[in-house]
Amino acid sequence: MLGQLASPPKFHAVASWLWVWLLLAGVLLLGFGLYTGLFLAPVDGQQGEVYRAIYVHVPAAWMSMFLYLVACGYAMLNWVYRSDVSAVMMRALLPTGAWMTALALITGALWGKPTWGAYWVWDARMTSELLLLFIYLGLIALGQLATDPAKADRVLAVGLLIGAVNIPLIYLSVVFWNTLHQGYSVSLGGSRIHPDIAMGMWLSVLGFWLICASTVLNRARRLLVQRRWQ
Amino acid sequence: MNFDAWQTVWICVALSVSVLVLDGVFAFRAGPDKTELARKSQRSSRMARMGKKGSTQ
Repeated sequence: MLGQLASPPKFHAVASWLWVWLLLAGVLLLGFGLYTGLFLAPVDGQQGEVYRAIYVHVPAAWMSMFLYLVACGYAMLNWVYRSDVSAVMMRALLPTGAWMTALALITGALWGKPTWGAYWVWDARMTSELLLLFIYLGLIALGQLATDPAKADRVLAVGLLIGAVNIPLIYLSVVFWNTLHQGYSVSLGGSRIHPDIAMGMWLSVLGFWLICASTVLNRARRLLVQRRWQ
Repeated sequence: MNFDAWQTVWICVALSVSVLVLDGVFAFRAGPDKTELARKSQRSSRMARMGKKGSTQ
């Protein structure tokens, strides 16, 4: 089933209807998550109301790293199979990843001002996330440099895999360095967030994930048409 | 500039929604536009017709 999606006509046919349903489901879940988080979740004892920025900041920050890892997966597939679908998916993920990174940085800065007293500090977590934004922008530019699409795909795949070094650096920066940014609240071992607060956050994360997936699929199917026409 | 807690939260929410919408709109602008596709399709069918004519002569 998944193997069939490597065929460009099949991928285009599936993506053409799937992105609409993903968008509808994503908007519903994000709306429900924001409603739960902004109006039903209790006030935080230490930060007061401003902690509610987590309902958009955390999903954006997670998406910025997750989308990069997915793009790396497609880069590896493209390196091995050189398929059109893996090439367009790799390219379609980059703009959405860059948007999510910028959003995480801006919402983080807005949240930082009332919490830390500054919009920006050269903290390890924030600096490595800023580096991720530059990597995304560099890769988007790199993908458009070469006139031969196959050559551009190879260069982009290598660039993506080299830049992947930054992802564990972002994730572990709060462990390696003494950062102003707080440590993990959610890890594989469990969550330290109260369930009443976490509920809205998980819904928002799922909503962001579905909306991003919808946008990426829509962009990928359009890039696929362009590639087949060239 | 200082915002109070709720102002900060609403600015973050508004920014997020705007970014998700903008990214979606830009996704629609990726790839060829319809007029370009129509022009290419007309050109290739014209070339095919010319090729057919050439082969019968």
